[in-house]
Amino acid sequence: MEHTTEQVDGVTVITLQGSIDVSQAIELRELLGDRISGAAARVLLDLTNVRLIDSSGIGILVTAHRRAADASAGFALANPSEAVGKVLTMTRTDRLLNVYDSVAEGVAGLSGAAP
Amino acid sequence: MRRRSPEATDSWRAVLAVLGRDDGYESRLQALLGLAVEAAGLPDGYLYLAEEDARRLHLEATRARPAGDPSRAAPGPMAQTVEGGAEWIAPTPPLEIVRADDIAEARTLTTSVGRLYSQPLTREGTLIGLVQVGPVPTGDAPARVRQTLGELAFPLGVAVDRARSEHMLRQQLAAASAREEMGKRLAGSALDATRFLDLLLDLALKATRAEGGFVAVLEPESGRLELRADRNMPEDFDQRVDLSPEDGLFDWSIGAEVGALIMRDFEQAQALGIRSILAVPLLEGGQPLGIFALASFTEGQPVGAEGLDLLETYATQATLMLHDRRLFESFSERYLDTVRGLARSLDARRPYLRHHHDRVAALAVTVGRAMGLAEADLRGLRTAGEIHDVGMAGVGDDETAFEANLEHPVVGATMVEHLPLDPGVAGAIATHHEWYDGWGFPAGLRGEAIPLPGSVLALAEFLIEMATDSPLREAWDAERLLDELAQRRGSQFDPAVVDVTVPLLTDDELGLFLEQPTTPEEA
Repeated sequence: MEHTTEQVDGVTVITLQGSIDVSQAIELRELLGDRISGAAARVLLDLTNVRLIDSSGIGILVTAHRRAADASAGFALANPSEAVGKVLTMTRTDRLLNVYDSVAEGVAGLSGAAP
Repeated sequence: MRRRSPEATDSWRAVLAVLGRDDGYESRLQALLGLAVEAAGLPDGYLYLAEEDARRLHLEATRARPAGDPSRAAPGPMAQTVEGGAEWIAPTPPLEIVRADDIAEARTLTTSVGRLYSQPLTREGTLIGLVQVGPVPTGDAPARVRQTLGELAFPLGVAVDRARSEHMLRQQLAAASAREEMGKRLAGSALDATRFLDLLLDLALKATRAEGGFVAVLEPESGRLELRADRNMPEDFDQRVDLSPEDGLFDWSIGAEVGALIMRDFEQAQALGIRSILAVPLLEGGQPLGIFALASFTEGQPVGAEGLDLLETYATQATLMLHDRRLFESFSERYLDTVRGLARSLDARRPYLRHHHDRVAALAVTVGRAMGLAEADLRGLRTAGEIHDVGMAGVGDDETAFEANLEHPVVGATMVEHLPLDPGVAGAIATHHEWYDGWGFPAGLRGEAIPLPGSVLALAEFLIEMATDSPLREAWDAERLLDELAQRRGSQFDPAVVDVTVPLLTDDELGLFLEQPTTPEEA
């Protein structure tokens, strides 16, 4: 699982590439855990280039969402592919997570969010 | 009419030749991309195809220089040095492109893999894909590249569209075939939960890349997930996996209000050797019924993008089965309550039969427990005792009464044999008038042919009847009952049942001579 990180309007945009399964779950947990700390954190996960995700990856995303909520931080997903979107729907986690159709919308949504 | 140039005619021939080959979908796309790359005279090419709504395009075929080719090295966001050396990892193209307003224009653009010339492929005005070739030098692509790809765009669009249509049709046929096979194989097993779930798992494994899978069902009484079926999971999986809602592999509590299923403990999955797992919640009205999970242990994910619809189909089938089973169990319990009520109404007809069914049931359970029957068998024995004479309902006092009396065990058993009860219930009712020596009714069974619950019920009913005053006789006392049991041991009654009962009777542990129980209404 490769990733790049950039700051856009105060939002940390993490772009992932590849597929997410059990073997990459720890890496994803550390990647997000380091960045979702404190109420000022705004993290957007760009899923444009993630082809597939399994239940372990979904588990990490929901845990990150909870941690962000507990810390009054911001965490959202952007632009999931059709397959990733389907997995979110099938596991019903689409109803828990904040999902934006594009990175631009995600950045706008998170940067405007009240701390 | 515009005439095609000789080169364009050659392009058509080459494209038609690809379509005429009996290759797989991926090979066809690869060959079509190869034609474009060779026609452009450039080393790299990428073919993207649009989703149905054309909002996104996916990379479907790549023809590029080998990753280790130094000429591909170029700094960029995806390039990085390999630890310990200056070697470059070749940059990778985006796997997906989100549609922008200018995507349908032929143009040169800068990408993560360098400058590429992008040629849209359309069919009847609809964008179906993009061919991107490169690298092209600074500035616009050479005129030759633009002209060649422009001429090739139409036949390529037709060919790609046709290849994709055929591929989708094949996938739909495979899915329809899998569903039809599922329907056939599941016929007649709708209420046999374990068999049904086993079949669903088999079919899911066949239709996806999954190497194993399991179905766990939420038990309403305990609130625990119980493993009901598993295929190719690690040895002792049922012992090693923790499915407890508090701290097990899965967590429903986070998304309880929407039924969202979270995998809590991926390290446990890792310890079980699972490389990837996709677990889908089975829900009814937002309430969890269970989990349908597919796993892989080597490489890749258990379900590719193309298999998600099939996984959803299997999960829906499992949900429907669990729904039907719960509905049937609920119906059965209500029906059984009606049968119990009918049996009690029979007891109310005669003073000496007061609470007969409940008393027989309680005594049978006491004897059964002393014989070491399991709790599930004891529950069945209690149910059988509560309704054992219900086949007498409708029997009047006329000349048909005797014949009906002989048939009542069979009539009673028939009333409950289709319910999802322990089969021992109907068996005990059907045989509670059989004798150990074969002189009983209705079948004249003997010895071991009589199921143990039937033998226990027979002795329990005998003791209750003989210890109760009736118009035919005064109640026998314990001493008389012990004498009769000794005489009937091995003839009317199973010796093993008598041997267990005698000490209970001697110690007055059967409650035979206590005040008869009263109902709450009477109290």
